[in-house]
Formats: sequence, C-alpha cells, structure tokens
Amino acid sequence: MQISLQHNDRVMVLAPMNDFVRIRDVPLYSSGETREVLAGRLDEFIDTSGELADLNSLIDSIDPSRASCRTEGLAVERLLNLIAAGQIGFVVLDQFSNEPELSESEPSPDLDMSERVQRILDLLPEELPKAFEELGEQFVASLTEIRQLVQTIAISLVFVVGAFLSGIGAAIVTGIGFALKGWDIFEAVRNIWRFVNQVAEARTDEEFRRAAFFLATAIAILGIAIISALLKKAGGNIARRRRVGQRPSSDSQSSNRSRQNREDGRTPQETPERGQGSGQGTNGRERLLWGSWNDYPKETINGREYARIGDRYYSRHAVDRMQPSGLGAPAGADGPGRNVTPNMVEHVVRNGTPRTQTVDGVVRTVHRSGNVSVVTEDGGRTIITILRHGS
Amino acid sequence: MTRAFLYPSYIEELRQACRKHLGEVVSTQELQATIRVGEQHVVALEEKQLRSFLTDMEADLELILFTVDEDKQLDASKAIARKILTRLEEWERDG
Repeated sequence: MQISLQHNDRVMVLAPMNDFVRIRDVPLYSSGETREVLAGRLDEFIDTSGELADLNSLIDSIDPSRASCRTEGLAVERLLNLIAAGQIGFVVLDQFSNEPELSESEPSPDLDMSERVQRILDLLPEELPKAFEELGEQFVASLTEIRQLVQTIAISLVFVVGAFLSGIGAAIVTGIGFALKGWDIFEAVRNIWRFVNQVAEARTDEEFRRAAFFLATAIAILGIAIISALLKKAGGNIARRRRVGQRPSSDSQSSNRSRQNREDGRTPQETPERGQGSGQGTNGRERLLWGSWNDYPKETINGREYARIGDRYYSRHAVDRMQPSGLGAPAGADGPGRNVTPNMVEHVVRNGTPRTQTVDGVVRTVHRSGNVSVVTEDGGRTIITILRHGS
Repeated sequence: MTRAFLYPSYIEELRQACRKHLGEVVSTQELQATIRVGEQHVVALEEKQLRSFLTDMEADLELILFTVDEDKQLDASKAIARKILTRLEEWERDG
C-alpha cells in the first residue's frame, strides 16, 4: 500500500517502512526527523479532504484495529505517530511539474492518444542512444531488441498516458511502485512523469522528440525489462485509483486547520496549534484548572467520555490519578492520586522524552520528564494515564 | 547483617500478593492496589527507600497495563512480582 500526494511540482510518496527497505539510498523522512519537521512536510501536501480516504487506507493497512479517522487532522496525527514509531516512511520528490515543455514552432495536426504514443515509439530508437550517452552509459541494444521493447510497452503506454489525462497525475508515482532498483527508480519515474506530461500536449516534432527522450532516459536508467514491468504495474494500479488533483499553492497549513475546525465544530481560536510540543496544547502560559472529574467539561470521542483540560482530552482514569494524594481515593477509583497537576502534564508532554509503542494495535506514546510519565494517544491529544516514579 | 522491616505485616501482605500473582490467583490490578496501600502505609523516614521502590513498582505495573499488549501483560507483571520478592529478600538479607 503506497499513496502519493502532489503539491505544485513535487510529489510525496508515503508507504509502510517495509516497502522502503528494499530501496537503496532513499532519502527518507522517517522517525529520525523531529515531529515539527514531519508535520510541516505533511502539511504542504495534505490539503484537501479528498486525501482522507487515502490516508485512512494507509493507516488502516498498518494499524487496522482502530476506527478510521473522521478528520484529516486526526489522520495526520495518527500518521505522525506511525512515522515516529518507524512504521511509515515518506519521500518527497521534486521536479514533477504538470507543465509540459512546449515550443513555439508550428503545430502538427491533432492526434489521438494511440497515434501520439506511436509517434513517440517511432522516435524511440533515435532517442535511446542519446539518453544512454547522456547518462554516460553505452547503448548496446540491437534494432530487434528495440522493436521488441516498443511492442511490449506500447499498450501500457497508451493506458498510462490515457489515465493521466483522466486526471490521475500523482497516481503514476504510486503505480510505478517500489521494486527492483534503488533510488534511481525515482529519477526514472520523474522521466516517465515528464514523458506523460509531454506526450499529452505535444504538437510539434520537437515536442514529440522531447517526450521520446524522457521515455528513453527512463529506459536507460532502469533497463528495458524493468520499464516494461513497471508500466504494466502502473496501468493496473492507476485503474484502481481515483483522481488526485493539483493542490493550490496557498498556505495549506492554515486551510487544513480551517477545514478541521469546521469538521470538529470548533472556532479557530479553540484549535490546538500544531508544532508546539507534541502537537497540541496550550500556549504554555495558561494555568489549567487542577480539579476532579466533575469539575471539567466533557466531550465524547468514539463513544468514550473525556474531560477537556486545555487543548487535551483526559480519560477519567488519568484525571483520578492526577488528584492530590492527601485527599484519598476519588469515588470509583482504586487508590489515591499521584499529585500531578494538568500544567505538569502539559510540561511533560511538551518537553518530556517520548517513547512510542503500539499496544493491541493502538499507538501510544509515553512521555517522561523527571519522575512523572504521561501515556498519550493521538499524538498527545488524548491523555490516557499518569505515572509517578519513585526515583 | 539482617534487617527487620518497620512494617512487617505490610511486607508480609505484599509478599503474599506477589506470590498469589505469580500463581495467577490475584490480578495485576490487585497487586497494584496492594502496592499502593503500601505507599500510604510506609511513612517512616527510615523506609523511604522502600517507599520509593513501591512507587516505582506501582508505576511499572501501570505502564504495563497501558502500554503492553493484553496477552503479554501477565508475563510482564509477573516479572515485577518476582522483582519485588527478590528485592525484599535482598534487603532483609543484606540489611
């Protein structure tokens, strides 16, 4: 399961970490990055509600035990947790412009897609040696081999280009898949991308030749057999995918947040700011009420009632464990509290050392600072329990 | 040099709870509750090391209950019970 998201001329490919293991030298964004860096990267690309289904599909493939997220905000938080846990990785590929390189020369008559592809395939034998030369490699294929290649990929090419014209741009990257080669595969994919864009709009000999050169370069990088296999795979994957359109270049982070606000029924002022501490929280100066369960407003999430303290949701168990120990056990609790205030929880979640693990399919993070630990879900948004260590 | 605990009845209660947990007679939550009682009960300055140890063990059990897969919780909490018995024995033996 891989998903691809496009923003301007860049494409982000997200996939389970296992998929990346086979790729050599891949410049991966993963658990090694800070949460802020990861969140910033994701924010650039995740900007329309259309991606929610894709995100949920990817998350569910890793962590199927929980219900799918209703909002992209929640999906992103879960995604960040899985990235932090080293279960999902992503790469960002640039120079995937949708704009073909068009010339000023006289256009040739309009052609249908089969004719366009055939015209490029006719040019391929001339362009292949140039592409190999450009890469510093020797071209040794015979004319017969080239003809065989052309026959092999012709149908796939028509399908891929046709699918692209239907609007499945970024899907091509996903469809290509991760297989067989190292990081070079993405350079090849970039050339196929350019080829697809170019062939769709080409009207002059120069433009068709340029498209043929892009395809030839991809072939030179990956080899004939791999290109053939990848194009077939791309065709199959594209058929299963829906449209992934071009993202607006406006501030995606703010639009994401606005959308989440609408879906959550909150005003922007009530919305947690990402990028502070573990994802959500107060501005760090607010004094949060240290009270008992009955003192806090409640919100029901996925059928469970939580106390809302600041920007976080606390389970009843967590609230009970925060109580002053000298007051005895809260009603219904099995022991006295651990003397932990909400502001201490806030500090620990923001500044403590996080350790993420999956428990019965649920990703939980333990933040520890000093002798206090806080167990959270949803990237710190939900407080599950509080621990007080003796040393 | 041997040592006598200041709260022998509680220590015995704790040992019993640990043994019963190892025999799967009492649950992790019950063992945790017994430890929590000890934290309230053991107040003497001389036993601050014991009190701190109990607090640590209680936190470890809480962590197990919320961060370990359910089918692995018993094994993990039994390890805590064994650790408590061993530590009590060491303290008693070494002073």
